[in-house]
Amino acid sequence: MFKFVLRRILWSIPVLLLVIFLTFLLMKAIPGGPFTGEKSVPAEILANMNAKYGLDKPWYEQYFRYVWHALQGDLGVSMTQKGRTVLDIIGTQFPVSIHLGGMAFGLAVLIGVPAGIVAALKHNTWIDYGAIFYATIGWAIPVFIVGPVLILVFALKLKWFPTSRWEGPEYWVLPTVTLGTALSAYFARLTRGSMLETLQQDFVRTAQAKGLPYRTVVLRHVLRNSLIPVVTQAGPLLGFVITGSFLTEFIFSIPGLGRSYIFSVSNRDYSVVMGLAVLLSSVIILANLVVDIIYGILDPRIRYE
Amino acid sequence: MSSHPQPDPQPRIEAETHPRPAELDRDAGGPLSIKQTTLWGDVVRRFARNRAAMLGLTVLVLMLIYSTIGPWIRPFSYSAQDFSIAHQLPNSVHWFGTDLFGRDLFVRVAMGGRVSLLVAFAATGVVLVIGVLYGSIAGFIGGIVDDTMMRFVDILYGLPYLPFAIVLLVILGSGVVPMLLALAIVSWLTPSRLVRGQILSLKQNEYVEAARALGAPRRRIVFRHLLPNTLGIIVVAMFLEVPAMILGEATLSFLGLGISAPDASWGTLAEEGWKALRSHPWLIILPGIFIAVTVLCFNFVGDGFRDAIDPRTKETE
Repeated sequence: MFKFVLRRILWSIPVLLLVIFLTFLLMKAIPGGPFTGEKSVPAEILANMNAKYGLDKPWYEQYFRYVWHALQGDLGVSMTQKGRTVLDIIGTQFPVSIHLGGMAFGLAVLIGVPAGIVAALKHNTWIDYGAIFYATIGWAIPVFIVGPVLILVFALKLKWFPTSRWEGPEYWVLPTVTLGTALSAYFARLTRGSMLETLQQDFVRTAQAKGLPYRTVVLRHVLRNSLIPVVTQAGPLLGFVITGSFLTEFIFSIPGLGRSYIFSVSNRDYSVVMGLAVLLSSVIILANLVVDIIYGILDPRIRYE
Repeated sequence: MSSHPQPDPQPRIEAETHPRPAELDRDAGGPLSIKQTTLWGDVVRRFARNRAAMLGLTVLVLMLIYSTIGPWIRPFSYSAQDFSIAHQLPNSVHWFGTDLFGRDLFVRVAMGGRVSLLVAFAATGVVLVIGVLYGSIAGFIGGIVDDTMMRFVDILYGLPYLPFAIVLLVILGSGVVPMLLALAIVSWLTPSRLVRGQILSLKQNEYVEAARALGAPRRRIVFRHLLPNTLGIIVVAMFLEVPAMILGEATLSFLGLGISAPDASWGTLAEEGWKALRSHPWLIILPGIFIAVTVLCFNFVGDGFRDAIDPRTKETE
């Protein structure tokens, strides 16, 4: 187990380096630069600016310089937001995105997993059909429709919650629901399917046959086994959370990473885009690692070779 | 996957072990159809019994018809502006109302449907071609080639989907082709893994060994034995990929990176509606309904097809 974890961590280093490399190349391929704005800048000043940020060097030198500095915890300074380092930007925005994503994820698990369990236990009753309906509709309506409709109803018509920004609990409600709806639908569907499959397994019949109370069978035998696929899906779902939080931050003007990323790409702020891309990649790689480890703890049949 | 006896005029051993492409057409209910149960006959029969899937298919066909002929049904241009008729709700002249420039929304939503569906289908096509080629090469050759190719896929899995697509789109520019390329480039990983996994398990079957023992060349084994048997999961993957592409395109367009005006996709229509949310919410609700219904129907059809092709996988992910 320890060896497996260690190997996975070591393996993620070249992966991260390659991801940085790919992002780097992509950034270089974007037409225009951070200093090609609407007003034309004199050539000498442009050259000076490029020299200041190291953009006059060959691309491979820039890459190695970037990696070298990144290893020392220096992701560079923003090229368009004066006087702010990339770490500083990440430091103020990442917590907001994590807060939003975490609350949405929590909401999704709290609603989706129980809904899926109840639906499976009451298979083919109206409760089940209601859950299926919710899971199907909730997953199909895109985040960028859910958000505006929630704003329309709960912020503009009923005036219960503010329409935008991120300044206190009342500001958190609508974005969390926006991002959490599709996620909870996904969890409900996944949990239900997995429960139904587990309920048909031989060991469940055995448990019932030896006279265990239904409650014990469900809690001890069915739940644990049917939550395994739910856990393994949580890693890949992170991609959805990132996409969804980009949209949610955009819709509710939340000062998180997603909004900043879109802003920085359109301003060609190479260092911020690089920093955010590297950060998000690390998060994804880390999440997949954690999921693999949890998977192994939950299911002893998984052997780490 | 399935092996069932087939009457075959030519006595070839491999012919008995998998459905041959020629039977696909015969089983589709044409005049040549013979009374026998084949894999694809079963699939069609089971699919037709699934009410949600059939409803989804019907709606999708209607959606395709509307997108195709919609702009010709009503005598309005999708781009001509007339501010005197701006911001109308649905009425007898403008069936879906008009937008802030007075453009007819029945025509614009149909045009948007053309773009959205075209991008989604084309991107899915590209993704499946790449996925099938990449996955089957890795799975069939195996060994170090497989390892290297799959490591590469693992690495790309570390890239976040949307941020990656945004950068690609900025590089490629705006328009239909850049959009579908950007979507395809970030989406081919999962189909590749899927096809590879399927090829790996199919390779173990006796009929492949038999074919190899008979001296069948590699190409024949891949194209006659392995790929036809992955057709099922490829079709299922297609039905799940298309709605993902519709959502991907709409997401990028909503963020302002999509098709530029006066052309429209459902995503850019939603973006226009979002800007007018306070005063004219209908403008976002209308494209929202179209996106959601289409995605929903594709999911119904995809699930129905998956259950039809392999009833054992019913209700499991």
